[in-house]
Amino acid sequence: MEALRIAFLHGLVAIALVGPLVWLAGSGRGRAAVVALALAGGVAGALFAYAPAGSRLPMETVLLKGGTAWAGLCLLLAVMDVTVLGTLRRRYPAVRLGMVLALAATILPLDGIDLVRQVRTLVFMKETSAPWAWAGLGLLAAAASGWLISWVFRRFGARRYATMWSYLLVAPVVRLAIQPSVIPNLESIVSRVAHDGMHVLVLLIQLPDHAYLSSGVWTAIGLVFMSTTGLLLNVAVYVGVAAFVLVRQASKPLPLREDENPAQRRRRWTTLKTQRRLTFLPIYVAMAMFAVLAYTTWAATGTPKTPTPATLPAGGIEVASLADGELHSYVFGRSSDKRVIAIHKPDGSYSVCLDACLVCPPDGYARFGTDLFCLYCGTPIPLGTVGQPGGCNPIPLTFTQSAGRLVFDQTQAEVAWQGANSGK
Amino acid sequence: MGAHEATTMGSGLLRLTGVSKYYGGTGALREVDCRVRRGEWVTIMGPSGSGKTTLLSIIGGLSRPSDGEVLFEGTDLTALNESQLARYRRENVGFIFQQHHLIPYLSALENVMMAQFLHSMPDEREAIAALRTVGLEHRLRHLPAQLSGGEQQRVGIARALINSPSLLLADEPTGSLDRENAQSIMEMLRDLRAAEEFTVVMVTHDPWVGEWGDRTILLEDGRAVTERTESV
Repeated sequence: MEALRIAFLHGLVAIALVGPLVWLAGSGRGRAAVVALALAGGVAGALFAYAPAGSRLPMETVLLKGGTAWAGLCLLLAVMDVTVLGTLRRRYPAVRLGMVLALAATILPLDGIDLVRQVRTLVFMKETSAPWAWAGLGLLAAAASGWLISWVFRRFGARRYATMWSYLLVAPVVRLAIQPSVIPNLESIVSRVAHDGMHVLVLLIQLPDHAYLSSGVWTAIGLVFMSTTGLLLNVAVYVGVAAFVLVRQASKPLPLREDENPAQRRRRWTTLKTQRRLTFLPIYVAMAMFAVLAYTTWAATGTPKTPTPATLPAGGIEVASLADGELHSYVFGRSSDKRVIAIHKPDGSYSVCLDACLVCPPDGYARFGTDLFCLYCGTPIPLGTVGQPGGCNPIPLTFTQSAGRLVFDQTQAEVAWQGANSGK
Repeated sequence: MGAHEATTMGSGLLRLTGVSKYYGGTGALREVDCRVRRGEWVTIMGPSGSGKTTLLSIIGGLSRPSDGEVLFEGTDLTALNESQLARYRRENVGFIFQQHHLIPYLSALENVMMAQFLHSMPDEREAIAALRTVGLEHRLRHLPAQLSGGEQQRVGIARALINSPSLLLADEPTGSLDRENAQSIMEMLRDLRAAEEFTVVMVTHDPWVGEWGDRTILLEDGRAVTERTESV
């Protein structure tokens, strides 16, 4: 039954996001085919994107950054709609279909990935494949609900008040409000692309990478990946789209029609005014949501906490000492000049890593809100990815947990520290 | 009378089939059939209690028949819900009443603008133009009580036509006027109809008024007993 509930909610969100677009773009009997193709595109996209979307990140961070990426997509759509593509969309059904498919392939994988992941977890825990059947039923129920919603909309003539613009403004709000849990998948992809893209850019312009840049430069670069930056970017992009829509709507004249009388023209003008009011509504909702997110982000972050290195206990790190969820640092080795960090993460797992990464000089890490921060370059590392190897992440150590202690091989850790200390 | 402007009459606008209306056990209308073409002026006549006003109310969507079908441009009015009927009235029908039914505390201009407001949105310039058409540009700010009966009916006509209805329903429009004012009102309706090409269904018991139409339906005891085409 849990799988049914999850699949039903995912299905509803998919319908809420793709349905209106199909509704606005399609027509007549072709609309059902467009819906089917859009869903098929979504499933294919989900399967394609499942592998790289690995980790689950802290909700607050990913909500903000995921929202940013989503708002960016909407901005792109808005630009597309006022350019030649918008004209082509209105004129040629094939272009409409292509846009819908492209959007479905962009939007739906997030739902698909999350759904597959949650159902697989249920299958693993319950040791039965029944959740897949329940999930299928849930999707069918969602499809039936979608049809019902569509019928109600048609019944009350809502088509008159819905525009592509209202869709663009509503979609991010729906995504932010109803289902933030799918954002981690988007966040994984966006962060990966942004991070790797930046390295490639630096190399392309033939600048030495990473450790050869000053810490000030890296601190500036790190700002790009901060949660607060994500929030500000999100607001900026959304306000940009909203302002664009406001200006466009406000300056849009009512086109004259030769075959209408003054009363019909008044009626059309009234409908347009209602459309505008409804278009602006999600702007207010989104602004309120951003305000709440800004407050919770600000309240959660506080000040950076740099751990004071303690001597590594002889029998290993005591699990009980990590119960506070804070970052702990220990010195080890013959000259006590090497450090490891350990943390009990929000998802319940433990991580033991060197207090250094593969690229920067080993200045170590501090905790700041839901991230670790590199004290050298300022790059934030979301807590959810601590323990994964590579790049700016602290170098993870293999450890065992026994008798309430986390134990790692100090000799191997010393070798790894040498590699870290030499930089790239 | 009898000489009327020839109008372009087109396809069917309204069709009533077997329309009956019962109040308790009393039959106000019994299986009335009739058709009205677009642009036509149809007069419904008959003695008191013959069902004239009941028939007009059913055509105007103000009441529902107990039986039968009322098709307006192919849409069955009996199948519409209250909100759809209100929309039908708002966008397709204009009403003129014997007693004018103007809102007493609103000026002539405001009475017309109220109809615009209920339809879509007020437009003062358009309302002034409508009152100018009925010769009341000098009475814009007057309350109904400050207007004569003929002037009040002119405001009623402006109000009925401000939303460009395709069907004008008039229930004894000259019933409370003297012959001179009645003549003026009927000439005005004739001219407006020629200009705006709306369809008129008018109820009257006055044979003189009946002669202004293209066709007359005679009701008697709830039944359409005869139909007569006026000489053109």
